[in-house]
Amino acid sequence: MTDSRVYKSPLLGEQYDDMRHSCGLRILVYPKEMETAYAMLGVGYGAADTPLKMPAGLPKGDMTPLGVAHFLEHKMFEGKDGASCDHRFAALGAEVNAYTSYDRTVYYISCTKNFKEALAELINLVSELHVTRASVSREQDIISEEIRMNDDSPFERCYAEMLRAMYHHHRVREEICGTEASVKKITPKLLKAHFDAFYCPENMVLAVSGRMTSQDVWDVVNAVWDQKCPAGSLPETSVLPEPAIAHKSYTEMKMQVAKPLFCIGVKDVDIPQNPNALFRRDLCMTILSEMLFSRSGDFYNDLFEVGSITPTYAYGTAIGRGYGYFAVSGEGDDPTLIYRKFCDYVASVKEKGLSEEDFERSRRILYADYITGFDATEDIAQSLITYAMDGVELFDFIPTVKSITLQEITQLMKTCFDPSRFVLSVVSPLDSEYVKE
Amino acid sequence: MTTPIPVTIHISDAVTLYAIQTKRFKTSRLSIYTMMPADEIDAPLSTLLFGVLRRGSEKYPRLSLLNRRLDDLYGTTLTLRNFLRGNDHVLSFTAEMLSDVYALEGEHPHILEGTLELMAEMLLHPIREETGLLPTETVESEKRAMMDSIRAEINDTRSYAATRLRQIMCEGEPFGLSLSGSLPMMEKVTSETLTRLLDQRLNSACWEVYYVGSEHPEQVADAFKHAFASFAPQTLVLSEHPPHIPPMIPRRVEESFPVGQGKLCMAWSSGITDTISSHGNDYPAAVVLCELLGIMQSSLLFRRVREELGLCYFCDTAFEGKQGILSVTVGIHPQNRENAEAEILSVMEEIREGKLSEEDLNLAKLSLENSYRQLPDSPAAMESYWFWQDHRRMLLPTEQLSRLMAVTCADVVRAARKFILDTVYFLNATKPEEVDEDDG
Repeated sequence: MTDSRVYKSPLLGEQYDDMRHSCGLRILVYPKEMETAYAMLGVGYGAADTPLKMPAGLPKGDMTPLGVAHFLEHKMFEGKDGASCDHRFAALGAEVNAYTSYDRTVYYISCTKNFKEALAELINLVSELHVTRASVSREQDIISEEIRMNDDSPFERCYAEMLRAMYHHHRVREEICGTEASVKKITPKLLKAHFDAFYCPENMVLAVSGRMTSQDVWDVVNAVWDQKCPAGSLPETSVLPEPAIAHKSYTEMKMQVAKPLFCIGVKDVDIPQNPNALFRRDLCMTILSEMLFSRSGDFYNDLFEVGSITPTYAYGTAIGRGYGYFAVSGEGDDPTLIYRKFCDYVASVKEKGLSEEDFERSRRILYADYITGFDATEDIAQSLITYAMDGVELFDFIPTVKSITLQEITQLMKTCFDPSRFVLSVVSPLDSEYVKE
Repeated sequence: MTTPIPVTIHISDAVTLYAIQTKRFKTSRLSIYTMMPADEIDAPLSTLLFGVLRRGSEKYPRLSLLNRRLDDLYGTTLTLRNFLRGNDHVLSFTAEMLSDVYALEGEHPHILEGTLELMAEMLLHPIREETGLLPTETVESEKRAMMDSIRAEINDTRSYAATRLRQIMCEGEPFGLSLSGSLPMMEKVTSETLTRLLDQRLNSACWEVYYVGSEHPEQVADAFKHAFASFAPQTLVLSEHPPHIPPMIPRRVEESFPVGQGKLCMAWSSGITDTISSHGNDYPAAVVLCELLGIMQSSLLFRRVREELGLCYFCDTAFEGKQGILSVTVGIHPQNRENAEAEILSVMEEIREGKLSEEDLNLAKLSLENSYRQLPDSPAAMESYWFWQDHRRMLLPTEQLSRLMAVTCADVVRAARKFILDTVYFLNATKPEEVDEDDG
């Protein structure tokens, strides 16, 4: 084991090992006395990553069809014989699945026995790609159904259109699955080229939680990858510079909904590149979002009590490589009125200042959320892989939250909440004549 | 597998606490369930009533103050759920909270006691007008919210289609009723109606309380008794209803919506229910059938309908053990409707003909075993397991699993032959295909 390190949390009374295998794979093992063992294998390649160099004849950079990372995730489940690998996991009593986000693809398993064998299968799964023209064609049909399913979800559409309006260039404005047209352009050769470029151990993290030791995990990785470790070096990817202002301030589409849906976004462009600074900004944004938009706050309650919005309401933040934003979404008869109230509310808070009480309340909720995340091996593995792939340490959460000040949050509010960065996305009923004032 | 068994404490004739003490978690979970026979008017009105109760109490007269109190209790979450358990209408309040041990240094927040006090406030001490009625303004506001949610049911075609299947299949039966009611019904509700229902529901219903966490069961019982000191409902015996009877010819209903993806929902009825005393080995066999058909990794429908034919992205399968109903829902392009239905029927028919491999049976058992072994890791799963048990004869998870593991191919085939196609619902997608722009 190289670069092995143990991280301990006196608060939780728990610890985990952080190791680097000679093949380049980073391995995190968090022992937990639970029946369910959980393992997640993350690949640092997501929907927003486009390689600047590709073999001759293949599109690169912004010419890469949308949805390649997600398509690849689907096809990694195809075995050498053309059959789905699911069967191999099922035979061990294990469950396997995967997801693709903007900056990573994560494959995961859970089981209550045969953990070592299932982990070996998980590593095998990301080691080789088997695709044929026929299987790619069939997958195009399946993914098209997935796209149609997502397209029928009004809240997802409203949110996606908000991002499309907010960003000028960043690929976060595009759907992770791509479009039916882009998916049809994906070929076996293109998939293979992206697999070769990104699916190498240096670009992967393995996070495990459950009743096992680091040696157990280490032995499995040794057994599988000492012989056939995938080779490759990471290609350079690009993130186009993004203007501070929103691309469009308003967007609207019609769908089958009972009453209009809205999603208000606020663009953050001061995205730090340093992982710890990015992590700190993420926490500051979360605290600020909780202070401004929680269900115990004035914004929600003032609108709810007069019937301007329904109980269907959500708020949150997101941050990643080159992008970051706040989002508030819900349902109400007059999204323009809600948006106007949003602007007035933000202006009033800016003028009056944020309250110390709200700040402490939000930090307390964040703290409780964090502790709650250690109750299940699934959540632990998810946190481990998220923190590791973001380049931060899991137990740094509490000291970081403690060190954040109200002044810092106030400053964030001042810089971020500028109307030029606001976006209103509306999904209105098909038969409505709703138009923005 | 060491799934903790709940300690049963009879708080009163009508209220029973099932408490599982475990140090495994840093949080705890407490749910209060109230059950009544499902009724087409009382069920939706009860849902509306709980919405009103969630809006404020004597001590916390506004929603913002209730929510703020939850925040102070380290972000305790309170979830209201509304569903059917067989022919009974169930409403539940679930609180998920941090254990006191993890409170910030120097604080002793008594989160469990505080949460119970808040739940009791909402249920027993709602704000009332001088007349004793629930506030008209709040009732009207919740009516609007409920009517909005009735209208918004079409927003999610996947769950809408599953609900329509149940309603069409069990029309006229308690299991087929709408839990949210209709717009005309909501229009007529007054605060008098709801206040009367509140008194009735508090005075005579069947109440069950489930707790999973680090506190001792007696301590939880004491905290409950303290918070709910004035609560003394009469016992209500829930009567048994016969399972659903299939029609002579399968019902077929199609509705069109301007969306992109169609939803094909198929349901079979069997008369096989989870009642221990009857059906011999058929119930565990039906559970295994459902598992291998569409739940387990690499299930038959996943392999055939999605992987081999590429017809769908998702394929949901469920077995309603209180009614003996098996249902399958797939999201498909409308032009693939006939192919998808034919393939699903073909898979069912092959099982009935005995074309079922030992390998597939074992995969289903492994999957079920995995689920059962995971029970002790999840407070929600443990609570759900005990809540859905036949309360006249509760089986331990190990006993239930043994019954499943004993199922043979012949048992599954025999059970499959009892499943009769009952209803086919198709939500047709009529949105014109979009011409996708060339986006690189």
